[in-house]
Amino acid sequence: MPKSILPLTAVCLIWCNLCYSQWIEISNTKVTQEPTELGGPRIVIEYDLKDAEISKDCPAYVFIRYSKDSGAAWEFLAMEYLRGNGYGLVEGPGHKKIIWWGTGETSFGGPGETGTTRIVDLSRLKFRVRGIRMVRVPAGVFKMKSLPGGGYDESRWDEEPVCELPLFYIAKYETTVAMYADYLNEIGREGTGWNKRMSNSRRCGIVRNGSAPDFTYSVKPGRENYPVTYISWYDAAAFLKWCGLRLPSEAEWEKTVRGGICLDGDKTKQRENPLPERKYPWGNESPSAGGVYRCNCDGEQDGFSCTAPVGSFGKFNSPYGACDMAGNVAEWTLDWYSTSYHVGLDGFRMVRGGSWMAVPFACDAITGATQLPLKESSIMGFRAVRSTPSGGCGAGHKSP
Amino acid sequence: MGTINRREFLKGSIGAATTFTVLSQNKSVGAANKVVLGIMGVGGRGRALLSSLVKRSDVKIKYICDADTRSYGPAAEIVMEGHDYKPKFVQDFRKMLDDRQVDAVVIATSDRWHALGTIMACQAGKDVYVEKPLSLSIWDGRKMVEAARKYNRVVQVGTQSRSAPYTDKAAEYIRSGKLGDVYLARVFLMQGAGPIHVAGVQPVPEGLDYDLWCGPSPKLPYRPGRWFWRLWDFYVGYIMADMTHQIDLARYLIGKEYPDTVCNAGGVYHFNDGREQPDTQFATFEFGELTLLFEASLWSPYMHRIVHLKDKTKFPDWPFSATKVEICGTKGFMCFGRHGGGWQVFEGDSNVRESKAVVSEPAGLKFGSIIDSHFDDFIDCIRSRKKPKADVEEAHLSMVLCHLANISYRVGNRKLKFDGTTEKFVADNEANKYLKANYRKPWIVPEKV
Repeated sequence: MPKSILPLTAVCLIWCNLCYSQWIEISNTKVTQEPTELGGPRIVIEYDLKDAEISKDCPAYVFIRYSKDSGAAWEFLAMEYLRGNGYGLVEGPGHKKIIWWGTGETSFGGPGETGTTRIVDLSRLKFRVRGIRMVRVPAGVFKMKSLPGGGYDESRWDEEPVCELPLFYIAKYETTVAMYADYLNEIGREGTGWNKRMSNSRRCGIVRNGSAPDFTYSVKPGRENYPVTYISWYDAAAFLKWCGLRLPSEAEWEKTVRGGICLDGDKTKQRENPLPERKYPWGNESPSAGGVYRCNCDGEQDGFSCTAPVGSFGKFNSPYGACDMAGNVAEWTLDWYSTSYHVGLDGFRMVRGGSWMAVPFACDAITGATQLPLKESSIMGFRAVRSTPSGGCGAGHKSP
Repeated sequence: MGTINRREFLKGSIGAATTFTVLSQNKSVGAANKVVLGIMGVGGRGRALLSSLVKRSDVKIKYICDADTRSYGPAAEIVMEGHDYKPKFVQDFRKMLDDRQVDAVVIATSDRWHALGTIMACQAGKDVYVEKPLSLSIWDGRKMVEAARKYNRVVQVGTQSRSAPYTDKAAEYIRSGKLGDVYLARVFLMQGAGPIHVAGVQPVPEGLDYDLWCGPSPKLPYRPGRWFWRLWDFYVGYIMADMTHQIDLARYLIGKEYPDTVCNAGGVYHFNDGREQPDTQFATFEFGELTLLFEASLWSPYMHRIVHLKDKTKFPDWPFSATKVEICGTKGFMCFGRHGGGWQVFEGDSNVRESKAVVSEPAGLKFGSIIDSHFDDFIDCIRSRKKPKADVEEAHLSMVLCHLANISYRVGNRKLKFDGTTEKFVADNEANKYLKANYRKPWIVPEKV
C-alpha cells in the first residue's frame, strides 16, 4: 500500500428518512470513505432496505442528494458516477451498498496536497438517501382511449387508439405532503415552491416558518400521508427534477390505469389483461357500485370530504398496483394541450384521474381536464415516473 | 297561476310568450344583499369567469350547471377556494332557473345555447351575463334583445373591452373631433391557428347529457372534441367568434349601428379539415360615407395577440398586432389595441413626410382586471337596473356585422344591401334565408319571447 494513501474510514453525517411518510423506509445508513490504489478515494454508502414488498414489479427508486458544505446547499448525486446495488431502481430488500468514485479534490474543489490523494473532509459532507415506491409497467401495447375535449389529444384522433410504450416505472402513490415538505426544507429557504394556500390544514397542510432566507417548513400533524396539493405544473416538475424523475405522459398515465394488452408485457405475453379497455383501475364497476366505495370522489360517502391519505383504497389499485389512479387528486401530466387559438399563452397541460371533488364518471381512465401550468389547486397533485435508459421519455405513442 | 309547477311552466314556455315569471321573480337586489348567481356552462371559459367572480364578496355562486357532469370538479373547486363553500351542481339549467333565490345567470356555454339560454333566463326573471359570440343568427340576437326588454332584465355580454377605461377615452377623443372627419375604420383578426380535427364516432360518455349538450343544434353522432366548430349549425366560425370583440370596439368608437351594404371576400383557403366557415375573410361595410374594413385570417403566425404585453405602460407593435382597430380621420390616425393594448393617435407632417404619436394612452392595467371591471358593471346594473356598457343590444348590433359578412360569404361573396330597420336584406331571398338559424325541437327560439 503506498504510504500516501491512508487506510482511513470515517462516518459522515447522514440523514434518515424514517420521519417522513411515503419515502421508503431506509435504515442503518452509513457512509464511509476508503482509499483505493488506482482510482482515488471512494465513498461508500450503505443502508438497509427492509421493506419486504420491494420486488422487481414494485421496486424502490433510490436517489441520493449530498452537501459538501455542511448542509448549506444540496445537489443531486448523478447516478452515472455510482456503482453498486442500492441506487436507481432497487428490486429487492436487503443490505445495499453504493460506491461513489471520484470524490477527491477535483470533485470537491478543495486544496490538495501534491503527490498525495487527498481524502475528503467528511465532517463537511452530508448525504440524504431517499426512496420512492414504484410499480413496473412492462413494455408493450395498450388500448389508449383518451380523447380530445376533456383530457383528449386532438392531434392523434385519426390514429387507431392502440399505443405502444417502452418499459417505465411509475410511483405507486401520489406525492405526499411530507415528501414535498422535505423537499421544501432543502430548497425553499427563500420561499421557492411554496404558496400560502398550502397551509390550509384540510386540503394540504404545509406551514412555512421563519423568514427569508431561512424559511423552514413543517407539516400539520396528521397531514403527512395526504397527497400534496396547490402544486403548479412547474412546482411538480421541479420536485421531480430534484428527485431525478419526471411527470408521466398521458399515455403512460393511462397505461398505468388500464394495463397493457398483456400485463407482463409484449416480450413474454404470459398474462393477458382481462379488461384492456377497463374504465377504472379496478375494472368497469362504477366507483360506488353496490355500495362499495372504490376511490375518493365527490361526496363524503367514501369516507373523505377532501383528500384521503394516499393508498386508502388499496383494494382498488391499477393492474400494476398503482394506488389512487382514480380520484383523490387529479394528476398533472407532461403533455400539453394545444388547440387553443390563443396562441402564445403558456399552453394548457393535461390533468388526469378525477379528484375528491369530481363526479364518479370523471374518475375514469379517459377523462381529463386542461389546466394552465401555473394553476395551484386543492384538487390537483402529481406522481413520478422513471423511464428506463432505452425507453426515453415515452411521452408519445405510436400506431401499431 | 300560483299553482303552476314552475319547471313544467318553463318547459311549456319554450316557443310561447309569457309574462308570468317576472311577476314572481322580479325582486330587487339591495346593496346589502349578495347577488345570487348560477353559472351555466363550466368548461374553460366558464371556469375563467368563475375565477373572476369568486374574487368578489358581493356575489354568491349558488349553482354551477353543465350538461357534462365531468365538468363539476374543476369548477366547484374554484368556488370552494374563493368562497369556501360548494355550489350546487345541476345538469339541466332549468332547475337553476326554477330557483327564486337566483338573481342572475352567467352563460358560458358553447354558442348554440347563448340565445335560448338568455331568453329562458329572462323569462324566468333572471338577469343575464352571456358570453360572446352573442348569437348564431341575426334573428337569435334580436329575440334576445326583445326578451331583455320585455322582462326588464339586465343582459350584459362578454365583450369586456367596453369596460376598459381607455376605451371610453378613445371614444371621447374621436367624438370631440380631434381625429377630424372619420371615413375609414379597419378591424383586424389576423393570427395563426391550427386545423380542427375530427375524431371517430364513439359512445356518449357516462355523465354527459348529449341531447342537452347539443341543444338547439342538430344531434349528430357523438364525437369527442371540438369537431362542431366546423359547422354553421353550431358555430359562427373561428374568425367571427373572436372578431366580434374588435367589431364591437370599432362600432363603439365610430358610433355606428347598421351598415347599408356588406361585401365579403375570402373563403376556406388554408385548412383542409372540412370546415364550413372561412379561414380567410376580408369584408367591407358601408355606413354612408364611412367604410369599415375588416381583415381576418387564420394563417398569419407573424401577427400577435397583444394580450401578451408584459409592460402595460407600453404599446403593441402595431403592424403585427393581431387584434387592433385602426380609425382613420382627416386629422389623425388612431391605433387601438384590444386586451389592454391602449391606444395612440398619430399625426403627419407633410413637410418632413413623417408621422408621429401625438397622443398615447396606455391601458395601464392587465387584461384580467378588465374582466373584473366588466363584472363590476354587471353587478352594479343588477342593483341599479341601468343598462350595462355591453348591453345585449349593443352586442347584437356588433354581431349583426359578423353575421352579415358570413351571409355574404354563404351566398357567394356577393355585395348585399341591408335594411337595419327590418334587419333584413333588401330584395334578396337567398341571403334572407340565412337570417335565422336552424333549431332542433324542443329547443326553438320562439317567435314571441
